[in-house]
Amino acid sequence: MGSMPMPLARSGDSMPATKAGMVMAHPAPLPRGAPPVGSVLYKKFSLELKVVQHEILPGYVVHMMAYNGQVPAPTIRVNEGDWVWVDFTNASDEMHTIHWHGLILDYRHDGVPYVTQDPIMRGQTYSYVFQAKPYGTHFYHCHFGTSLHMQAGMYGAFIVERAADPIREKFPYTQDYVYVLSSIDPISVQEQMNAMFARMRQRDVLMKRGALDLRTQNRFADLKALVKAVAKGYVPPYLRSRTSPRLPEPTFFLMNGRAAPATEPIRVKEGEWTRIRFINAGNVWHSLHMHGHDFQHVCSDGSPLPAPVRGNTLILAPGKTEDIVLLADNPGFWAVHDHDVTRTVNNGVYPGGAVTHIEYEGFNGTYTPSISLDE
Amino acid sequence: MGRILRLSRWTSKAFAGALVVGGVAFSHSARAQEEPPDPAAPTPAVQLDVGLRAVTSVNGTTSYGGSKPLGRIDFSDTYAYARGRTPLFSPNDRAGALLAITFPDEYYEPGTLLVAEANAFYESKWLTVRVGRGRNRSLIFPLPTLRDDDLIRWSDVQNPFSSGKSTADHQFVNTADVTIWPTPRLFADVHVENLPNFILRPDALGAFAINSYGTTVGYRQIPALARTSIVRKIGMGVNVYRLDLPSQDFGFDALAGAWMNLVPDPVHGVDWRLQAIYNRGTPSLILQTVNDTFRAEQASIVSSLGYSYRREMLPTFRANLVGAYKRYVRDGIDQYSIVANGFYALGATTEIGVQYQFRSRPRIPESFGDSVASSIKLAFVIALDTTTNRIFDERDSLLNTESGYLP
Repeated sequence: MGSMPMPLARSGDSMPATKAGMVMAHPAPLPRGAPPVGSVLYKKFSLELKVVQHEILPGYVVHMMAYNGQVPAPTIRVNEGDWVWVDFTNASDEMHTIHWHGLILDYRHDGVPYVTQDPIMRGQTYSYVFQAKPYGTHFYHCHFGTSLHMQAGMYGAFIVERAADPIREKFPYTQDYVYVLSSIDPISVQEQMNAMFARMRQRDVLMKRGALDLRTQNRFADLKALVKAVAKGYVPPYLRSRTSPRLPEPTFFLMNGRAAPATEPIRVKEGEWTRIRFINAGNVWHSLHMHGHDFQHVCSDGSPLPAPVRGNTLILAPGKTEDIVLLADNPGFWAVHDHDVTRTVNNGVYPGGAVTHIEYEGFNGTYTPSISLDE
Repeated sequence: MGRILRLSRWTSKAFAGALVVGGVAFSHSARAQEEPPDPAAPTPAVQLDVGLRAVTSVNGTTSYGGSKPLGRIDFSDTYAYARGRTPLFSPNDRAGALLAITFPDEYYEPGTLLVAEANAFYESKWLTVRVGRGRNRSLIFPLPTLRDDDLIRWSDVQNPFSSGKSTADHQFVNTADVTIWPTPRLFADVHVENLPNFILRPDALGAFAINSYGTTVGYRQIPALARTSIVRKIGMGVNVYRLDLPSQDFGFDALAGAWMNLVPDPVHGVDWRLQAIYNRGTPSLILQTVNDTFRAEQASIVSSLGYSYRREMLPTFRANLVGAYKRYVRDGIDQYSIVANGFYALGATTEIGVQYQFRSRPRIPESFGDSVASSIKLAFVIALDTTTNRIFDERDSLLNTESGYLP
């Protein structure tokens, strides 16, 4: 059935490194400066992409593309300077890559199809090798068919930690949460996945008999070649004779793969600091407002801000990561929600979407939260 | 005239316009008869599929029985439909309604419309149920001819009660059918039908009585893999129909067919279809009237070979050769026809083409028409389909078939 609910991506929940490497079916060159295999301890991880059924909300299940069957993908935590080796196996019919968003690495491991590498075909394994830098909150996602594949669940957090953590030095946090925000138009995703998989099956037939030419793949060596092909009768896929213009219109807004009321709360301990890393892997802006507290905005795109900024509403643009720290000094139950309230609905029904709340450990209030599905 | 509607040109246009919004209006009108709409009532999503298919041609016919060559502008088989579907409270189920009209035959006057389909249906992963009027189940797959009735005498089980006025008599029926899908590709249906009967039961009540019972079983490849698999469809069926004649209570027919890709290639594809029909009919019947040709014991076989070229996997060109043969058992009369056609795609939904057909029906009485004829048709065909407010995946989509079913 569906992928399991995303476990809270705190420090202790990150993906364990694998013990042994895999044989690369699709070898990639080692990056510049990489130590020879065996001379250092590479932190190895394995990711496999497959199609799953994922439950966004009780009773609402969609087909998604998931690394290791999870939406979001497992959080990877490494230390700054570690050499990282990720074997990515594509077990789906569609082509994929992995882009390491925010990391500084050899361009051949950046995961952009036709710019830094060929896309990874079904059954192939590609090894991404890089040194973990810079420090901070980053993420990884597919960069092939990105508008569909990211909506469909191909994203996960990538955290580079530092022993002398500059944030912890100022704010001695004891908890570390990751929330990956995303948005999805389930109908568009379903329609596009069906079309893409069908197209790939047809291309497979041509590929097996060596008849899959570049034009059939809608690929060209350069712009000049495209211009020439169009002049000779090639019909690009973006023309109205081949497509009916339609952009995805997200109807569900997710926090760690789930929409309210299925989102996980932020559990805090009175008197202690909590770090919360927000990653926007979706295609809409969010304006996250926290009730009952001011937070300290400490990092943007993984990089510590020159000085913490106090506030109660955090703007989160697509592709950005923003870190805040929160002192639990006001016991109770407190809403945390997108203040663009069009993101706080499920299929147009309020409340839902990008909403969670803060819970104080051991707090016994006279009023406790319950669930309302339609106000 | 049963379900043949004779409408003025203006009325036809109005009806076609109403059809477009029919799917939306249908549910409300049913409720409105009972009580005003309740503002607090649920407003479930409705997926609306609307389509238009214009099949036009300039026909030239030459007969070898003395008739003069004829030229004709033909728009028969032109078709319009609207289908609405809505989810049910049970999350895996849906229901819908379909209304479709067509210009049934070449010889009907402009303004003549046939309600081809008007039915309510239910769908789930395992089951589809349809009640109302629709395409009959005596068809395994369509043939690659310009129009679906070009080879109707060979391709479809003949309605023994047809007057011969319309080929639609053999295609559209009042039906209640249940289809079970034990796997996404295997199906078995049972159906009861009213074969329009204006020959033996001219009274209105008798004409619409259930008079046919049948079953069909088969394998159908899902649409996404139809071009790249060897087997596209295999099926067989049997139907029993009531004759209520003094000498014979029932007749029956049986049919079987296979549609295969000889070259399952998305660019250069070659496919082959073969279908055979045996109709027991009334074995003692001697051919004297047109209706007799539908009721007499007969066997037919039809086969086609098709080539399709899809440059860069876009529709480009297709050509087909179809042969059909029939024998009336009692009289020993043979009929055959050969169709050759070619179509060039101007766009993804628009084709121009030419079709040649030779037809031989020797030893049939002259009153049935020319015995040997050939025709050529210059065709211009447009098929437009659009879906608004898409909320469903199809039961036989690639995702639902291979990654677990979701409605």
